[in-house]
Amino acid sequence: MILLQSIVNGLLIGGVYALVAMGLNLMFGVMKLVNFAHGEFLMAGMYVAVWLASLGMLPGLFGIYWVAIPTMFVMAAVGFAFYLLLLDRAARFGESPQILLTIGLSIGAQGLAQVLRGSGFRLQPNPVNGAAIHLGGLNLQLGPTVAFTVALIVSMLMALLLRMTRFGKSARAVAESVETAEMLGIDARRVYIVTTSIAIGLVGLAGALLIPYHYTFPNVGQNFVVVAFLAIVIAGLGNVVGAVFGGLLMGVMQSLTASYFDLDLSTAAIYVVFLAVLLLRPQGLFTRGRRTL
Amino acid sequence: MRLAIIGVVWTIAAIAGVAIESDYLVSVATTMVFLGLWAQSWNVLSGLTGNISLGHSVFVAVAAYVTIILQQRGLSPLIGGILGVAAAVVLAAIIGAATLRLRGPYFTLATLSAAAVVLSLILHYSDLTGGPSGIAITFAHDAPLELEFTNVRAYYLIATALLAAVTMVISLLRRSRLGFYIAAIKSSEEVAAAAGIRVALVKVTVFCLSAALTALGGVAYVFYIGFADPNFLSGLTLSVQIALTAVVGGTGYLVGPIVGAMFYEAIDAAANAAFGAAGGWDVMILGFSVVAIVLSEPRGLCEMAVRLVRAIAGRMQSAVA
Repeated sequence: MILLQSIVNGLLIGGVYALVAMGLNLMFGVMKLVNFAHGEFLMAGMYVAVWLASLGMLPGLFGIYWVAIPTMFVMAAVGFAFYLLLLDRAARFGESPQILLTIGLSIGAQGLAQVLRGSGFRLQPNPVNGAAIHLGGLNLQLGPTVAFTVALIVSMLMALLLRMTRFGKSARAVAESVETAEMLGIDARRVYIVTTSIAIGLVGLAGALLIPYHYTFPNVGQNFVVVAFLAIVIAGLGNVVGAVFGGLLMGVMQSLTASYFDLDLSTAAIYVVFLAVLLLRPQGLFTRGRRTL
Repeated sequence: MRLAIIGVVWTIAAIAGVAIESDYLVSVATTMVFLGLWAQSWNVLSGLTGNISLGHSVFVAVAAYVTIILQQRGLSPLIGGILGVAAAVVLAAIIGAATLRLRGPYFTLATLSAAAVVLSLILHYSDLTGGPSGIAITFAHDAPLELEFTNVRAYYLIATALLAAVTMVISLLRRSRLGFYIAAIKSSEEVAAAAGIRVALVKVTVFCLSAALTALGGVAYVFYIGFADPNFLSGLTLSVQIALTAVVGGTGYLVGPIVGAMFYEAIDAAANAAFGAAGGWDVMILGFSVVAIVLSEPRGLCEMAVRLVRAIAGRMQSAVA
């Protein structure tokens, strides 16, 4: 029973990791860019959501969740600006400057959050926090359950988006080869803009789903993004749907180490798996052959 | 020639440090020199090979903790420090062997998360490491064999000597056989491999060298501060600071990381004086100045200075003509 409960807890925690990792891997797959500021976009999303929730909440148990969709759109707009103002201009310098740009942005954004909102921990009081569903002896925390459910729905929508829509097909073509895609008349820059907006919108959504049960503070992104980095490498860099399984796997591993050893050791356990995957299967667990996205 | 210049600059810096009366100024300068030392050591790997490490604080932490833990059990830090550096090199060899043969961001992600793992191990094994509260070293009198000095200037001299030594190592490395291998690998791995260079071995060797130099600084630093603080020593913040300091100064220049450290400490001191130490202004300014530098001149402050000097020289020449 402890085993089952730990696995369930892990899957539920993994929902947020999946959302964060999906955006990261979408950007990597299409743009070949690891966004080291991704955690800070999560942090920004959480602050936006906390602010919206402080304005007022709808009645009922799930009243706080009205902030999710507005936060997602605000962050998608932030992603749009992020691409046009920074990534677009850094693209001509090559890979290393782009990495350094996102790292600089990451630490700058942490400082900015501290300057604007202070370094205190914020939690908007709400009925979801602490509530749980009891299901045949299992105990499901309500906040993580909602986040997990939304993550699953979003990942299915993403899979459909990438397979069925014109944007998805363009994005996969660009991921395969920018030169060929442009020869076929695809506007790569437009694909990059939409990709960045979707990725940052998703991490904003993750932030909004976190705030009912997780504290908001300037460095909050770091806890999530390190796990999400490990998740995308274990799943396979650039594999968007794989990232969902990667995120859920991270949650389960974390929960199992916490139950049977100690929560402090969970990062170490994940890291051992990470190094093993790099040595034995560098393309990732969920990527077959070379095809990604 | 270059070695002579480094020697002269070091002598001047050392005399200046001893002559300055204010202990506060000397400790700011010492912190700056340590940051410059780490950024310089980081540059051995990342500047020369282009593989960006975001976990260099892990080598600071490993060396510092090994030395302190052994010292508490009666081993002089002069010997413990060597073991601490050796531990950092072993760790670098493991991370490097797993990731440096792969292309793309694997290495950066592996180093970044390695620091998080070591931090969690330090926090977990609190019997050995003191956990989140760290290990404080207290001493009342000078004991050179224990690396314990009551005057902060002693640590300033140690730090500047280490920085001068690391700078000399890089200067020599660039013109050594290994240095040419590295330059070849940076411009094209395929061509370098075709020319018979064992690419993976060279990269791992350089990573181990960079880790060893960083670790040396870690051993001296922890005695200077007198406190092994896990969240600082193995934190992501320090790793990012080290990397950004080198980048701001300019990774292509021998003095780049040192210029970057001066820039950072100047911002830090100014922000602390203007807004107080806890406001987050210093990291905000450092972060956004990196963004500005990447967008305007990715080669850093040194390149900007060189351009400025050239522009002024050009204008003066045309004025004379």
